[in-house]
Amino acid sequence: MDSTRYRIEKTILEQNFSRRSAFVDRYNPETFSLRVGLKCSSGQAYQLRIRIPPDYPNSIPRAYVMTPADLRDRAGQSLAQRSPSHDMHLLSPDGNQIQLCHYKPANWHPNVTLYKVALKCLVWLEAYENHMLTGKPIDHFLHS
Amino acid sequence: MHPLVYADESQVQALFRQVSPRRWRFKGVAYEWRGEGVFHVFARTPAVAPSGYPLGCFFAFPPEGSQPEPTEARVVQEVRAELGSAGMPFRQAVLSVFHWRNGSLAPHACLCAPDRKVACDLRYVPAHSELYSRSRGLLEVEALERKRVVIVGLGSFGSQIAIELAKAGVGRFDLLDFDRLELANLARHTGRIQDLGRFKTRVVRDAILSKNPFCEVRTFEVDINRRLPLLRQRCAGADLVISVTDDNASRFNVNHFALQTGRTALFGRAITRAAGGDVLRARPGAGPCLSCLFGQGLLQTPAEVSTIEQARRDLPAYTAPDQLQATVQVGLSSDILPITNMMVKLALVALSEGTAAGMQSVAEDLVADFYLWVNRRDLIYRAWPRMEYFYNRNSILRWYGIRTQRDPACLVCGQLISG
Amino acid sequence: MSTKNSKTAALGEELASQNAGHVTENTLQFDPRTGELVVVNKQDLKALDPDVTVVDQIATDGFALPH
Repeated sequence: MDSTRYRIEKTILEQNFSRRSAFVDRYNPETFSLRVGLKCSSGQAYQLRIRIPPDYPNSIPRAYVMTPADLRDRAGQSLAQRSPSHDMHLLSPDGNQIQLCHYKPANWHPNVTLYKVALKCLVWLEAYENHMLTGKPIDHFLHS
Repeated sequence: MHPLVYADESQVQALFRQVSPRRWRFKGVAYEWRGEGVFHVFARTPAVAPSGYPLGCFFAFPPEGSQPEPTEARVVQEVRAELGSAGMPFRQAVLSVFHWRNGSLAPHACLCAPDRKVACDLRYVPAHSELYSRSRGLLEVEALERKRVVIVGLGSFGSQIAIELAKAGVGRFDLLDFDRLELANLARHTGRIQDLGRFKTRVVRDAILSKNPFCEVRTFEVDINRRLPLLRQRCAGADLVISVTDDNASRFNVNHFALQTGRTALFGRAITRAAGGDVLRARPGAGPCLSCLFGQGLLQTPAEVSTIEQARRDLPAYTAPDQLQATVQVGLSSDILPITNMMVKLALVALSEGTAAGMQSVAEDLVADFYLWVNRRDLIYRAWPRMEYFYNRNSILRWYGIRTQRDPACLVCGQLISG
Repeated sequence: MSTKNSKTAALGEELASQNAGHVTENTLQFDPRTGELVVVNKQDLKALDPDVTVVDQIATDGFALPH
């Protein structure tokens, strides 16, 4: 990510996720990521790691749930073990960190910011909390 | 009709420059199409592997005053002796003789076999200046020769575009793609069955050089998404960038670096089942960029998915295999050609800008930066009226210029142009 | 149902309705002041802080406001 885009992303994130987001390893293309804390309407907090690819924003970033670690479905099964999952909108995990499907690759474009990615992840998390309440899969709440 | 022998004029001229009283015979190689009486002779290995079957070939530049007949007999004798010493039977060879008469080389050729000699018509493959002389008046040939076009993606689109541009007289190409030609590509790609397994870049390079051996073609067998500095460098050295890949990330990377280096870029694609297609000309600062249009939803019509690998990239990882397979719905080569043809026209307009060539009237027509091609009454065009005899209403098999503007909030061109 | 659960369920209902293609009276908004998604009646949109982001078209771009 070039410095101009970095400044834009940082500004938008500071406006919307003030004190709840931080870039990590900016100069390491292997690990450069955004950490963002999200809070659901239930009050439950989640921390996400959004991996920023070297050619971001031309390529889609990958979003992982860092904490709570090893999220479970309503039946108690590890979501990481269920991944990838169409029903739960999950891509391949990184260890026990599940990877959220936030944008279809074909719908991704460089005018989407990390702020929007974080918001889409928040929508997924709300859907997840509804799954935990009702047992209905994420796909019931979100388009595939 | 005598058998035909084609010799590269510039190669003959190069040999002639090496002639001395002691050295006036040269060995070469000929290729024949058996039973067709056509031979192509080369003094040195050509840039592109020739077609046909190889056979012996000799060039002779007899000293002034000597007669062709004894010269040929002597050369045939030498040929036979040379092949015999190598343990090879002498079946036949093409002998091309050039006499210096009245200030020019008089060519003469014959097919020599042990028991007979058949006179041939020798024709030159013309020198550089004459190859595309027919385009003069239509195009500024000399100007086009100096233009460099970068083509990213040498699939069914890129291969057609590259060859058409070479035929129009464009002289320099950078070709970028990491794919190899596979069986499934043959129906739409310009590559031939004997090219299977080769890098598409090199298949297309050979096709370009077969049309115009004077082109300068550089190939890069790389995944540009992982070689961004190289992509930037290629864009910076280009007069025009053409992106015809099948994944959005590479299209966006091309968009980014074309904008950053101030180069016009063309993007083209077919939509699902080639029901239609679209072409974008992205002129830095003067029109919308790829991201502007994508953000406005103009490019979110599902693209044609021609391979299972492309389906895997475009769809989430959890997509079931049968659904992936169902997504692969390709059009015919003839569905693609109108789109590549439009891209070639836009390319020639861009490359001829500022010259007094005949592309001016085309440029006056092609003022839009975004074009839709409607190919078939299918998918989003299902409800369109039939073409029949009407010319004054929407129909298939036509181009539509779409009025578009830069997105003032575009984070890509807004940032790169102002910066 | 607790207040927390009712807010979650309201969000879930709105998401499911939008997912089913229904036109609803409500929309989802992200309020940066609270850091939460909330269900808001469309008629009340004007009264809200202009900084909020309307979440719609979840299947594609996802958001109504530019970038």
